[in-house]
Amino acid sequence: MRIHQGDVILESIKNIPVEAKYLRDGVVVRGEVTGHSHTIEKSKIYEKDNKIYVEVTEKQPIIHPDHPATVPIKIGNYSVRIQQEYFPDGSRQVKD
Amino acid sequence: MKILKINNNYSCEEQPSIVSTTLRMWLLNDKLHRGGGKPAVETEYTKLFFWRGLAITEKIAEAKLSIQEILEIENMEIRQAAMEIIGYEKFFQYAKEIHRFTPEQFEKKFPVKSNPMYSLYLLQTGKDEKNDDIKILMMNDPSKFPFVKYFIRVHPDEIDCGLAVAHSYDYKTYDEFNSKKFWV
Repeated sequence: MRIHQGDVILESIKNIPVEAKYLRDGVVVRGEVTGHSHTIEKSKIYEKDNKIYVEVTEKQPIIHPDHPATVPIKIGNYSVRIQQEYFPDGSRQVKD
Repeated sequence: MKILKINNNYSCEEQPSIVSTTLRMWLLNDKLHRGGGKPAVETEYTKLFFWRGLAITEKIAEAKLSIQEILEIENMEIRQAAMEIIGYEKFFQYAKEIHRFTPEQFEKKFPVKSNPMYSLYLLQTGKDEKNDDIKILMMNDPSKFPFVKYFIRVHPDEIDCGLAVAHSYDYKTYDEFNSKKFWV
């Protein structure tokens, strides 16, 4: 299952890689320009090889100030895809 | 702090024109870069503006050039930077739509004839610094109301909206991008 909110897609996965490093709680992706972040309050965020992983520990919505309240996201593990914009010197994450 | 000026301009070839203890530099991926109209290099006396390593004027950094002024910039790299800063959507009068697409499940919200969910545009403002076409993908976000359009630059080889949006999330096909998905 996939959850798509704006420039972020969460993909349900069985397990988060064991080597993934714990980053923080809650904030899945920070909004670098607007300061608006995609947040799942009861979650743990991990990173491995520049890829973000989320462990959702309670059924709850993903929150973003520009988006309406969402359907609850199930407890489980997710990997995160962030939309990339093309630039001649290399693609980079869309600046939210 | 030491400052050397000639005719009120910072100028000296023999030694640094400014020696500062308050130098502040903003870099992104090893290149001087700062958005929001702010300088990437600052001392108490100077402000220098950079966009992905490219020196630009304060007026470009602050997005104060008119569309016409931007189109008249001769240097391709600087013109491209100015276009990015001001936002590609401002150049749509100089754009040609080359493809439009609405997924079947969103046809009611975004009728493909009048307001497609995705449109791919070729900017007819000249090529970029690599002599490539500048292509922009317009996206309607179905989870927001009132609907909001977003614009991102996509690879110059893109010719199909569905593929362009799939590639922007690093999927190989549109079906892979669109399967088993909930928009929230």
